[in-house]
Amino acid sequence: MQISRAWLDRISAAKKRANDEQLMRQIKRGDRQALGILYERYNQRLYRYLMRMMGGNTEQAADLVQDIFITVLDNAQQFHEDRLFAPWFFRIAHNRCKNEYRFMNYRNHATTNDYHLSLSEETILNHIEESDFRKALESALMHLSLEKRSMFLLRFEEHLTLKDIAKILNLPMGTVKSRLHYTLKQLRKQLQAFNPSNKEVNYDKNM
Amino acid sequence: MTKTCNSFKDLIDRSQYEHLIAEDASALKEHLNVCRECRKYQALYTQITKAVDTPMAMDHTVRNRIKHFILDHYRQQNKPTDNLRHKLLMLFGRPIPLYQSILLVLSILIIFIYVSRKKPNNDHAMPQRAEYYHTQSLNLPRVLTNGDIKLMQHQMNGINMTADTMFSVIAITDM
Ligand SMILES: [Zn+2]
Repeated sequence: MQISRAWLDRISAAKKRANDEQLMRQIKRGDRQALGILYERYNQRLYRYLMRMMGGNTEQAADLVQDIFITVLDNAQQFHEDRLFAPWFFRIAHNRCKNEYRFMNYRNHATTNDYHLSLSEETILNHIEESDFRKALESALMHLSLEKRSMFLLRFEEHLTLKDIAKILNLPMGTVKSRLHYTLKQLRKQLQAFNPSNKEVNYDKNM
Repeated sequence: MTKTCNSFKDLIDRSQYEHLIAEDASALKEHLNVCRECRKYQALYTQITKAVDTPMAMDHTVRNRIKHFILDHYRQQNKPTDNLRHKLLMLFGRPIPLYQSILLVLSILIIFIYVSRKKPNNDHAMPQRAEYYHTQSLNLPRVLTNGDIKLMQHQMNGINMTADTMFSVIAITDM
């Protein structure tokens, strides 16, 4: 009994060390524990992505987390193990958001609780808090198109490569680069007032 | 060729999503050491990256509820017997005891195989039949001649039969 317990512990430790693609292979074979590990690994990342995609609607984000994992399971047999899991997973998530947007005019809803527009520039300059900046960023993200927002999040939140992002969004690499460049400029404009360096940032000591 | 602040700002933008070539990277680094404006420009990106990287935790109970839902869905998906049970339920309109049914079908199959393997031996032991009627020929309407009827009347001693009653006897035996 003791031996079998130790043996099971060793198997589960090995599974926890397995990469995403190996876990997917086990899931395809019907391994429930592998699915539990993959869920623990990805649920928070996915939730954060969806929260920002959906403008901070917690219930909707949670519902989508569930839907997306179910889609992953229903399509698991189509996943090729020689590919990376994260881009495949976020492609499903991105497409799900796109569908969600078709059913609602989200842009209008998002601008009603626009955070940074309600603050005067003076207030901003005097109280640049990290949380304020975060809220301003989230609000600015909601002013981007769905595709640009997704692109930005996949790059800066999920740290995916440009190649992976191109695959997820089904766009050529050059287009991803130019749109990302444009998006950064657009965000800069909106967040300029929140730039902490406006308050004097002691950047380096090497000067 | 000396670069302007604008071209360095462009490099700063690009460095957010792709690797700069070594030459550009070192030129930018040197410029940032001396230009406050470009440092300010870059600081906003640092701030954005930091803000985006903050974790957003899903409520603990919601997270667990979703986990159980997903695991349940997966268990259903991986139970082929459940699929079969569901199909049987759809077919018969009532729950069918699956394992008992499988046992019953298997027993019938075994008995059938056993019987069909024994049959040729019995046939072999039987005396050869003189004639076999082909099923198709049995179904064909047979026309009896007067001679046939007389012969049959002769065979059925003591019973007086008309041609009509003979027909019905033949019809019944044929069935
Ligand atoms: Zn400069």
